Amino acid sequence: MDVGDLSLPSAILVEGVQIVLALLAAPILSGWIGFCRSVLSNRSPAGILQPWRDLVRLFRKETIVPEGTSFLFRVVPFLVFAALLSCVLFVPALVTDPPLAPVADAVVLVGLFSLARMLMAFGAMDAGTPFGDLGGRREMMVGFLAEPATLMILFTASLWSRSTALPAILHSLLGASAPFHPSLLFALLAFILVLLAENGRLPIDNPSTHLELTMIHEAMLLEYSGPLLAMMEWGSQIKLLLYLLIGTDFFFPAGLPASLSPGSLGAGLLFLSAKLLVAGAGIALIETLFAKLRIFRVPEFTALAYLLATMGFLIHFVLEV
Amino acid sequence: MTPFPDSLDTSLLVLLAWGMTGILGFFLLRRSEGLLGPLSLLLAAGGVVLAFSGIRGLVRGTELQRVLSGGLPGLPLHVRQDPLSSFFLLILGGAATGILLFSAGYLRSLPPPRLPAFFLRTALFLASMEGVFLADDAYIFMVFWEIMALVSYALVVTENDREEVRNAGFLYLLMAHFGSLLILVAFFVLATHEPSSLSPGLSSFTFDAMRTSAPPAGTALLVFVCTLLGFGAKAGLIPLHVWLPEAHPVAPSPASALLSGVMLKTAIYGILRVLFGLLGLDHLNYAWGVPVLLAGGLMALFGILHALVQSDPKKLLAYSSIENIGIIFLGIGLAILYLRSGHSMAGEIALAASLYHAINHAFFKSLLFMGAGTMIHATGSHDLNGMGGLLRRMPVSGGFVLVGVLCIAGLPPGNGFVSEWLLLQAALQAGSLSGTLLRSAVLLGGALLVLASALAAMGFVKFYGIGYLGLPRSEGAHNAREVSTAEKVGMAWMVGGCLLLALSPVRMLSWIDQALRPLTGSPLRENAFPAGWLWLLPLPPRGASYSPEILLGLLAFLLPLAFLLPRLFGKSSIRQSPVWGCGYGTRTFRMQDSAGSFAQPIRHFFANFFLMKRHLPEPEEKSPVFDLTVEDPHWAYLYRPLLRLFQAIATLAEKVRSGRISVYLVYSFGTLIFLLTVFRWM
Amino acid sequence: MSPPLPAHPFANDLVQFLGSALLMSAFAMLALRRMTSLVRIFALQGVLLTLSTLAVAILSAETHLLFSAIFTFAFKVVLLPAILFRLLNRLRIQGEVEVLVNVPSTMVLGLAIAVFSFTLAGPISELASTVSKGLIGVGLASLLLSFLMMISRRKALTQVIGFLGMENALFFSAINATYGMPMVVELGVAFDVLVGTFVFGIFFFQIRETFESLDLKHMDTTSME
Repeated sequence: MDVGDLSLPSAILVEGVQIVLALLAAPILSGWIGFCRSVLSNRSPAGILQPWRDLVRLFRKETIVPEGTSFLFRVVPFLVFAALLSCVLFVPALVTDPPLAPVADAVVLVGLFSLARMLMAFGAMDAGTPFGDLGGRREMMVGFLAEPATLMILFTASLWSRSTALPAILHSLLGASAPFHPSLLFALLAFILVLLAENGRLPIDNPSTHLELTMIHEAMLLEYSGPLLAMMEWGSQIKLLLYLLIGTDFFFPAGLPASLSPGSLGAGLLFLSAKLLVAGAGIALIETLFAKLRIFRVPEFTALAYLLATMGFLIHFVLEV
Repeated sequence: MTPFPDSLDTSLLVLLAWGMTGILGFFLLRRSEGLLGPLSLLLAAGGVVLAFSGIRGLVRGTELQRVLSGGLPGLPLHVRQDPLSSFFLLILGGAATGILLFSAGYLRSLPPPRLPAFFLRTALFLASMEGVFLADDAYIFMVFWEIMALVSYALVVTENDREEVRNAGFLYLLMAHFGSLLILVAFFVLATHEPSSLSPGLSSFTFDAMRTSAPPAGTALLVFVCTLLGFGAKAGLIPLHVWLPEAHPVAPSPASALLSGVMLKTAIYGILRVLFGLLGLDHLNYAWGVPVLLAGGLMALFGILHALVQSDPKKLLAYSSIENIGIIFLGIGLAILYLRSGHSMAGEIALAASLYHAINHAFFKSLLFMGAGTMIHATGSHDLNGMGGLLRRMPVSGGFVLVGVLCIAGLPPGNGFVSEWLLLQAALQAGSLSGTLLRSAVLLGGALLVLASALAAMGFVKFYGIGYLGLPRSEGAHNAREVSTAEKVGMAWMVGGCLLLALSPVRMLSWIDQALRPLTGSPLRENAFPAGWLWLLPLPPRGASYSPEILLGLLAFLLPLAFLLPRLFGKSSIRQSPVWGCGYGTRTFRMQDSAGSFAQPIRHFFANFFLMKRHLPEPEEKSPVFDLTVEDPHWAYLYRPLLRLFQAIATLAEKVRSGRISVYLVYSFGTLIFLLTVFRWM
Repeated sequence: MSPPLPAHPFANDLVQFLGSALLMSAFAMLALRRMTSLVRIFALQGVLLTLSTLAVAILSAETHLLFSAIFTFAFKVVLLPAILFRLLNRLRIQGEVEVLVNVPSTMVLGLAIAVFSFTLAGPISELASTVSKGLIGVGLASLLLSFLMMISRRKALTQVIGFLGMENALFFSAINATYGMPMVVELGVAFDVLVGTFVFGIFFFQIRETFESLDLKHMDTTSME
């Protein structure tokens, strides 16, 4: 149960590469989704590096802190960023068994996301503006609705391995003989719904709007600017990347290399990039096709996700055992 | 012979010392209030000793028994410290120490005439709870149980000049007695089914005798129900919970912390002791686990929903206690289900998770009640809407409360997360059960647990966000001052406890395993911790693992990294500026969410859980007022009808009462004749 | 009666997959509010049914099932949805369906119904020797879910779609449990459904002319008149 089969240096290397790649790729992924959205809605796209340009510009600015806030306001972006970044270490992305994966299973990941969300809400409420409170309240609301669904999806995906450890789930899914898993079909649909809700995408929240009364995520970030805002944005982009990684792990696990040879790693990276690009385009397509839901329709959305996941769980026992 | 007294002797000494200190303090404090500090320290020292005695009992796994003289003729006093008692003594000692340290600073604000009595009651309360954990026969158990109920009643009504306090106290006393009655029934049934004596004598009432009792299935069910409801009345089992959110908040904060943090655990102890210890696992049916499981899940949901709509911080915490006890019940239900259907590992984990949550709750809930006390002191308001902006003014205690808030919300790497994680791991084993209904029940329980903990996160965002963040909402909040050193030390003790519980789960679980081994018979330890102290791996070999130590280490490593990242790009200057707020010119504290409006989505989605009365202003009102009261539906649908029923019966009974003495004599005469008749011909 | 199946895990998986997709579509009907989406889902159910009938036909080598598949496609994918869309257009029904019970509660209820049907079908499935044992539970769950949709919605047209959904679920169960009913029965049922839809369509116009609305609450009072 220590660093697996790897020697310590190569373990550090794998995790290091994974974290650096995640840091670099997360804004690009968001840029790609934005690019696709623009193309799909007949606008001229801004280029997939736009989020990176935004981040650099924000980082160059000075830090501005609103009057009357406590130290928490200034610390929150870093805490959120660290919590989300740490998740990168546990999710199989480059290899099937990241050395640090035993530290945290899927439930811990959900917990870390929840920690980030709660801290973000604290940061928003510390400013003492109506919009901050509104954003915090709504974010927590989406959270409590989506979290049970997320967990049910994890449960369903972990049924083959009887374990919520991500590598164990992955191995059992890779080793499964059947080409179709009806239970996973349910879980996948539920996962897409949760992914949209948890990452502030349409139809729950519009990531590209600043219309006061409809926003959720943006309302929480309203008082942040400069480097602090950059940390928050970067953190959110990493979270989206993480969700897509977990999704590909659960539902399209093919192509993940189990060995550490450079060739298979390279092939795995190519596979992964292709999967992420397709998934990103899929999100863009959904966002183009659907309109934003009224806020009180959100429970219907998440309840559907929850029930689909639960059905998947039950279907597993009815059909697959 | 060891030079130390063994752990049972130590615990008994602490019990005696607490009682003596209480009485001593009562007289000393009437002379001089300055002695409060040293006296509280003395009590706290007792707590430390007790905690160590508990740890010693757990590490060695010893079962010590004594028979003391005294008690009833034919039934001397039996005391016993087995690992289960040791575990609860650890909870009591650990939590009490922090609370006593805190109260040394906090109580200075209590009106001086009340201080001696309050001190005495606190000490006796602690001693009686310890007595409950140490008792080894039904008689001494009930004696301490009743002392505990009475003294805690006295603590609740400390501020008895307020009517609501007196009402809450009365309600509490009523429920406590209802519970005691049922517990007595359970004990009596167990004693009568003890095989050694056909005619139950007093010696059947020792726990040793009850352990051998073998009631038939129907009778076992009676014991099960009585135990659950009897102790449930103390633990806040729905629908017997109505006293809890009334009584806990009105006591002074250290007393609330003891009531919520520790006394609720005596009920958990009682349930475990009677069901698993005395009745025995073999007499339980796996199906009984399902109602316990679902009741626990619903309690968790109901408790946290009502916590969310409160605006009194202590009431919010009291409702959240119902949630946490619900989580513990959920674990007990899961355990019965798994253990009795042959999945001993999963059952063991569920039960261990329950106990883990019990000790977690003792620490973070006490911490938060202390926090609520400091908030109320600092602002002079009992309403979250009169607080706000306190973190800027009370950074140290505010920081402590933040830790408590993150822990109670069940977030990694806090301690609440460990127990909830374990429970989920147990629930995940639903697949190994047979039958769709059973699996669905476990799944539903798991889902309720997650829903409740996600709602708890929202509830404590409200608690902390409205209480400590943003702009001050009142003059009092504006002028709030940091708390005294003693209070800080007390809170720091609790924070330390939370961190220890969060970071050494394997050690803690091996202790819990010691406590559970005599009850369930299947040791967790042999196979549950193959990977050493760093890795929590409850279901080896392929099961999920979690390592809070490494997780915290990674976070501690990444955080400075995150701080450095912006420095790479350039400027590091920080400037204060007015808020942006979408460009609206004014910002006043009234523009923030109030405690009520923050919970609005909850009231909207879960409207069925509340009884709401809205008062909407008429269009032409001069001073329009919008008013909303939220009530616990149990009052309207259960207790008030019951009350009306009793009143109706009383009115009927009233007719018998005429006031003339000769009529009463006729009643007596009639009764006498009736009894004599029965005596002759039956 | 039916011969044991050749071991063919892939086809077996395919049928199971289609079965759960059918169940999912029944769930989707509970969750969706738009009329046009409901009809589309109904057409999708037809496609799923056609595919699963085909799969079972190939698996069991029962030729009459091939005809069944063709009829299913013709009726349930082409004809009935076309009629329903036409009805929607002619009646100018647009926008969202009014619900009697709110959607999250309906869905929780739906879940309970699914658990119930799985439990109920458990012992029955043990007796079945055909394609997949679990599919009886799935079919039953889809049937009851469609029924639930009929109960929880207010507009008359949703009742028809719910009714058609029930028929789909029944058909699916029949195909999988006994390799379908005799051809004559199937044809008869198919025409009944078709005629039923026509009759419903005519009714709708009458209802609307009488009450100027298709809301079922107006019909509640008719019995008293």
